Amino acid sequence: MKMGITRTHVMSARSLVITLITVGAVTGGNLWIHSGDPPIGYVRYTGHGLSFDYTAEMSQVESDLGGFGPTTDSGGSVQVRYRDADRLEQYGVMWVKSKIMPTYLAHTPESALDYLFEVVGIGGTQITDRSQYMTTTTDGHDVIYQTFGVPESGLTIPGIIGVWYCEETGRFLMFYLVFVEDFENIEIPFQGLEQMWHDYLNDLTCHGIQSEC
Amino acid sequence: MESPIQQAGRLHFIDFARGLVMMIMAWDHVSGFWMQVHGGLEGIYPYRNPALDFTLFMARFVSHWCAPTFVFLSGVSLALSVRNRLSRGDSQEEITLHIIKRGLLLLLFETLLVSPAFDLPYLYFGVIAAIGVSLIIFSVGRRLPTAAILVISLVIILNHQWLDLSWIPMDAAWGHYLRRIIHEPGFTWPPYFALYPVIPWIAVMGLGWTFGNFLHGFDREKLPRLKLPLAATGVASIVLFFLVRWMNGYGNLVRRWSNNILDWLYISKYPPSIAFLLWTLGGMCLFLALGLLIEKRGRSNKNVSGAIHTFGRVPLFFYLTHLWLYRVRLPGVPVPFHLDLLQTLGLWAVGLVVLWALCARYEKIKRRYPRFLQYI
Repeated sequence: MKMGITRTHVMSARSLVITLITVGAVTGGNLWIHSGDPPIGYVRYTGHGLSFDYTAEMSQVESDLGGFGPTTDSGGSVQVRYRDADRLEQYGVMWVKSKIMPTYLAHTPESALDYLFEVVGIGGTQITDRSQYMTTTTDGHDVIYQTFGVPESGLTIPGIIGVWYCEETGRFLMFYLVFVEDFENIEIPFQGLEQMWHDYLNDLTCHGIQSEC
Repeated sequence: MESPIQQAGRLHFIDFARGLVMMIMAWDHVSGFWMQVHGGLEGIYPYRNPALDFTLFMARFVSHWCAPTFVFLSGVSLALSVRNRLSRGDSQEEITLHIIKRGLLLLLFETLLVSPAFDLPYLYFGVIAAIGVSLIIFSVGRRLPTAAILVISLVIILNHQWLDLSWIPMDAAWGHYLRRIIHEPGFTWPPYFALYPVIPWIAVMGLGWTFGNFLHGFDREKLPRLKLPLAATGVASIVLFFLVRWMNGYGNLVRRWSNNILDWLYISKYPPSIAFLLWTLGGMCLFLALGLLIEKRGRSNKNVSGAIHTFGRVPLFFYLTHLWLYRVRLPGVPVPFHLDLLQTLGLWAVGLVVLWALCARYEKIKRRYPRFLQYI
């Protein structure tokens, strides 16, 4: 018997309905169970009054800042990093309270950033090519930001860092990104890097997280 | 008893769709071998490469159609081949053994011929290995009713993003590799590299298996009637793709950071998200519809269309040959210089002409020694 488009032996209409109901039930159940989760494929960091999402492939580390912390009330950092043979992507947020900054510094976002680079330099990481400041906003705060370079193995890895004062938590917050797509071709258009930094920055919540603020 | 479609021989529209994506795949590989900037690892990298402008981004993006079409049509071919063997009197055990042998051979090809072509370690788990393992699983799984295979496939595709393998240790080599192969592609711990995890790719093959069984009972003369449903399915899938990207939640795996067109199109291939499969399998449906149109007009063996069909009839030979043809150099030898976009396009076109001649020649040899070359 020849069969046409309206009838095949693969499955009956009843089987098809059961198929759709089963698949719908399993998928709907999973959507309901996971409704409060971070976006699929991402991990949500929540701590020290901060929250942001990063992909499961990245490693996350909390550390202190020049011997202070990491505590919510002094200074510290949360950074995430992905590295393989070709690519480096690292970003993170650092915070510092005025009370742990040296008294010789004016307690402004610019000086907080200077202080951070000083601490990082003591830790052995050179920072070069700091650009002029640019401005943006995040989470209701005014942000100043600049590009910089990190020399490594004869290359200069490009990065962007921004700093702002979070009135709600009374601390300076700095958000940075260093990124290399391909170590054999390190040229990255600034606009692309800046857009990436902005996107990650906009994902960060710097206050109002649980009771820590 | 043979079905009407088996009596009629090869399905040219399947060969056309497969041949077309093989050509596109060759473009992706030649540009990866020779161009300085080439996109990739979408999904493993959550953010698109900022160095790619629109043209370079699209040069990579078009290649997304390849793997899903390749895997889906592997399922179609498997279903038709199994039916064919059953109708000519092969036993279930013989068929199972044949499929297992083919799967193992694919794993061997991946290790010995494909991985070195990409300068990757021999343990690299790519699309050929994924098809190989899927075939081995299907050698037994095929005994399930088609409806059950369809349910399992759809459940995997729609739910694999919640698969939790954290109970397998990631800091032990075996656990790391196992997780990479099962569901978590990655490139961080050499040599345990994997890009095409069995889940969810086996489910794409399952969809192909279902479609193959659907085709099996079809009258060849009525095949052109499939053109409209295929085209409608393709368009609907692509519309759904845009809906999923617009919602920017379930089904994406890689979020859409902005309304930039490149962010809309930067989708997770590793592993394939629902958005990725909607776009690519939707495109495949359109290619199949186009193949039916060409077949109806009797142009399956003419000019460029004839070359595309030739590629589609000997896909594994094409795959293994094109890698080394375009690579040109020995394993481990770095690229001596880079080509720009136009030069790479030229190399691609010249390579396709050479491949056409080689594939046509191989097809004749295969016809002469069908038993000896049945697995390639």
